[in-house]
Amino acid sequence: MSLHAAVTFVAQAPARVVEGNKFNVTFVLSNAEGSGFTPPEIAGATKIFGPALSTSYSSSWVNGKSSHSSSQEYTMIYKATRTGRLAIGPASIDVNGHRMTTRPISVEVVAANHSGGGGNGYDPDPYPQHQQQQRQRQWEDPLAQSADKAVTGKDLFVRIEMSRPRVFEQQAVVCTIKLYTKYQISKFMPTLQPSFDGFLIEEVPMQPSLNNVETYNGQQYMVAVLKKCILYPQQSGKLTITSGNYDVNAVQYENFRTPFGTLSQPVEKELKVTSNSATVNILPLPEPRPASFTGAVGKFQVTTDLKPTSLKTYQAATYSYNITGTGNIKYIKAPELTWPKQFDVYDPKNTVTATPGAGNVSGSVRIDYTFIPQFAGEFDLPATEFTYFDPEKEQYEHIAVPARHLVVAKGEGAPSAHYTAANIELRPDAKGDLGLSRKQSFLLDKPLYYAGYAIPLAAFIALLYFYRKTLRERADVLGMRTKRASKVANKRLKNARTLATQGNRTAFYAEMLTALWGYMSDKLSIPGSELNKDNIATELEAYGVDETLRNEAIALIDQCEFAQYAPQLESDDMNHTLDTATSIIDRLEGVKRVNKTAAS
Amino acid sequence: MTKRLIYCIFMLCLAALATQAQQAASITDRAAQAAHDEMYNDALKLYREAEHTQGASSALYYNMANTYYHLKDNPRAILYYERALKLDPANDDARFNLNLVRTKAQIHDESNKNYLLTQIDNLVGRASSNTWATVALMAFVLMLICAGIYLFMDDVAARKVGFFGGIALLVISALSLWSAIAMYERTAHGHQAIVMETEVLLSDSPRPVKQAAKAVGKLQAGQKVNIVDSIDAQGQRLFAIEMPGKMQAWLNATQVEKI
Repeated sequence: MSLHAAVTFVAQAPARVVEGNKFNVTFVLSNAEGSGFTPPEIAGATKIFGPALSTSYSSSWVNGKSSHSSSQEYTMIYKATRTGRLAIGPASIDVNGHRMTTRPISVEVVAANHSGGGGNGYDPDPYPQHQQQQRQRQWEDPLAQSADKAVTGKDLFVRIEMSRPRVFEQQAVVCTIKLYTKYQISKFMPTLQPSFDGFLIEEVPMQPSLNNVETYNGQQYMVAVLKKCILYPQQSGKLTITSGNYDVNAVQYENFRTPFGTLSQPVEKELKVTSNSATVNILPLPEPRPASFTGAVGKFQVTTDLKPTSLKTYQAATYSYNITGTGNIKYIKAPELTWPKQFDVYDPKNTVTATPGAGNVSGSVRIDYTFIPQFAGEFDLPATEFTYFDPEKEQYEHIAVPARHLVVAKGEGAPSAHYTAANIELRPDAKGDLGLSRKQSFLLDKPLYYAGYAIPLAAFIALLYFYRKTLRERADVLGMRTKRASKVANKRLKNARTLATQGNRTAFYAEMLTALWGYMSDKLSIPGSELNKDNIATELEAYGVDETLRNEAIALIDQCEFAQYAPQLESDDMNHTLDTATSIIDRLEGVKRVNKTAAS
Repeated sequence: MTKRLIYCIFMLCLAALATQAQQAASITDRAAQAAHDEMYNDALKLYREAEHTQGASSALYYNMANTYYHLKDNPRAILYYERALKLDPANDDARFNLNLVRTKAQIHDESNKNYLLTQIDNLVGRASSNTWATVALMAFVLMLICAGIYLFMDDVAARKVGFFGGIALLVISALSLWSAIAMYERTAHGHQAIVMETEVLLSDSPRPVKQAAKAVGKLQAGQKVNIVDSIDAQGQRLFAIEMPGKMQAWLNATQVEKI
């Protein structure tokens, strides 16, 4: 994207010249090519030389945007012949068929003995080599320059200027950092920026360029504004802006004579420049400060409005302060309003629209108080005032904000959690010894903590190892025997069945008894020798066997003992006995052992 | 003679210690008095002095948070409640006031965790790393006792208690240890921070954003963020923070204050 600037044609001349001196008048045609330049006649000055045409063309790339500019400069050199105001009439030139003219300007010619400085004369010509030579070459003439001449702090320096030496807290003060130079600058790098401790800064956007001429301490310099900002002091007392450091390359010209004239060759010199530091006396705002003062310093106006105008319960509304004016507009705090308790009020929000101007920031700030009425009825927002400090008048100014009568109609909704929370008090501070300590330690960081796991675990494993035999036995006894009980019994019963088919009654009943007693012994975990007909009933009961099954089992044992020694019974009894035994063992297997403590 | 000298020096030391302790008590007492008299700025100054000279505690941070609340500095109040909870997650007063201040100030944290995870997070956050570690160790030892009961006792009921109790205790121990590690990560490395500036613009790349249009998100003062990364760029420290949806966003380190 290329950006073509507007075509301009302007005349430039120094504001003030000394009588008898030569001076330049330059007519600059920007961004166009012209022809047929007609210089003006100046009464009171004689033309010495001109017009001399120089053309320059430049293009630059900034952030991906290219911009081109070109200029034609017609330089005329005149000699002032009388004091007073010289009028330089319009010059004209043809540009693409149009005739363009310059606006007339004037030059003040002062008597030769006039020793006052030139003021802030505007002179865009970077090399006004022919003027004011009588004044000891205050303006360094490039033709007289040479590279061996040292560049001193009087030739090139950076200055921090404050618009006022003393201001009130929060009152705007403009700080300008300027580069003064007698030489061309080819490179400029800040290495240490000045610091603005104690100030809030509002920067004025600017593109530094050497486009001004100023007289400082009786000497003329080219001046570039490096930085301009509006400062708001935050505390009273003496505040200092520290000096900044800059790396500057100045260009001097080496001249040499040739048969064709004088040629000059640029020579760069690297310089390290330190600016001055600036101090401002900050006066505290007068005490006592009014209660309604919230830090606004400047000149302001206030209006209020309410949206929507008809209020309903549980529906958000906004009451706004519109503060417009000039001053520390960004740093105005919301005034505190006394709201009815029946309103849910949110923290005010500031919306700032402000732009930095020449000496201060102006614009407006809207402070929105959002609230939700929680009850229907009529309420009053009491009259208040907005107070600001006017630093010009050095006094507080009050703007009355009238009361508002608010009528709230019933609306839909429910009380908000925020409103309920607003009426809950914080829990109070901790009292007494607060247990202050420097160290915060973590158990997880300590090896001892892990030992806390390892030691009991090792002890446990050692215990298992130490009692491994007992454990193995116990595992057999308790785990296996009960499980094995029915298996063994079934084996014996099978044995008994073969004996029954053989008709061996005595052996059959003996086998039956061994099976039954053995089963009981295994099942109840009682050694066979300790088990007898006297305690079997109680042991079975303790095991949790119900009475019928208990009686059946005892009856079966009784029957087998009796039949063993009573051979006269029928043979078919044997099969019946076998079936009864199988069924009883089956049912006993289904019985779950009850908790001993619960049973006793 | 030497004995007497040693005795004298000993007594002097004791006296010095005693006066120091007395002074120590008086700073926080004076702070409490100032807070009671609603001289909150003075109270804060004294609390800071106490922190500087004697160290911190959950109760101290809690009192400072209350003071900041009275000074209407909600983000700092929230920061100090969080610090109080970091030192002692069982400080219920701090939790209560933190939630209250957040409700009053209308601060909601965006979280990419679902309800269950948030609940688990809250539960883990109820006790300190050390408390969890102690619980884990105690559960572990009890688990061993239960295993012993199961292996060595005759009584079937006791064996059952030992067996199931042991399994339950092992699970409790493992979960507590996990919580202890989680809390340790949360507190020891401190990757959580509170937003201090009214409106913080978030960038999707590690460089500061100035225009609201280029920001990927905005944060409000008082919101809590999880810092996942940090870099130094152009003399500035930048933090990457967790965003909903596994995204990362960058902000300036000066805009937040670590808990």
